[in-house]
Amino acid sequence: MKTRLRVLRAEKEWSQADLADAVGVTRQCINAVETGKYEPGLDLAFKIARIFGKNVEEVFLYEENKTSSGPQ
Amino acid sequence: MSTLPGPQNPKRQRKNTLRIFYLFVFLAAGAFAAAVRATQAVQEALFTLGIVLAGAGVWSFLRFLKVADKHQRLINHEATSFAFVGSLLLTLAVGILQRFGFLSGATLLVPVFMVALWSIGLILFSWRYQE
Repeated sequence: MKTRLRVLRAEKEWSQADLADAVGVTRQCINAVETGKYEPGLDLAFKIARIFGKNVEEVFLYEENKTSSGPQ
Repeated sequence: MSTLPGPQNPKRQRKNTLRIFYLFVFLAAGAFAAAVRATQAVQEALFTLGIVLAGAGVWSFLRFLKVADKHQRLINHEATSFAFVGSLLLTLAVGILQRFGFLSGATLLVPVFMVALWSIGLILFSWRYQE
C-alpha cells in the first residue's frame, strides 16, 4: 500500500507530531505509516483521511500484489 | 498553514502508565530482594508486599495496553514475544544450573529478567519503525 500522507501533510504544513496528536496516535506511528513500514487499520486510515477532508482512497493507494493471480 | 483539531491524544497518559508500571516493578523487585535477606519474621511481610506490588505492576501494564494505539500494541506484542522466548531459555538455564546446586533462589530473578527483556524488546522493535 502506498500513501500520499507526507505530501498532504506538507501541503497543510503540519508536523508528524501535529497529525499524531489530532488522530490520537504516536508520532512514531505516523512516521511508520509514511515510510510504509506500518499499514494503518481501517479506523486510523479513516481518521487520517477525514482530517485532510479526503476519502481514504485519496490518501492511501492500494496496490494489487503483482504475484497474486487474482480471482479464478 | 491550516490548523488541526485540538489534541485528543492521551500521549501523557501512555507515558505515565509506563512510568507507573516501571515504578511498581522496581518496588516489587526491591521488596523481593529485601525479603531474601530479611529475618523470618519480616520475610513473609516483604514477600506479601512484593506480590501486591507485582500485582499493581500487572494492573498498570494492562492500563498501558488499554491506552496504547494499535501500532504501539504491535510493538508491545513483538517485545512480549521476545521477552517470553528469552525468559523461557533463561528459566531452562537456571533450572539446569539449580539441578547441579548453583544459583539457589535465582528463580525470583526470572520476572525481573522478563521485564528487562521486554524493555529491550520495546526499544529494539521501536527502532524497526524508525526512519
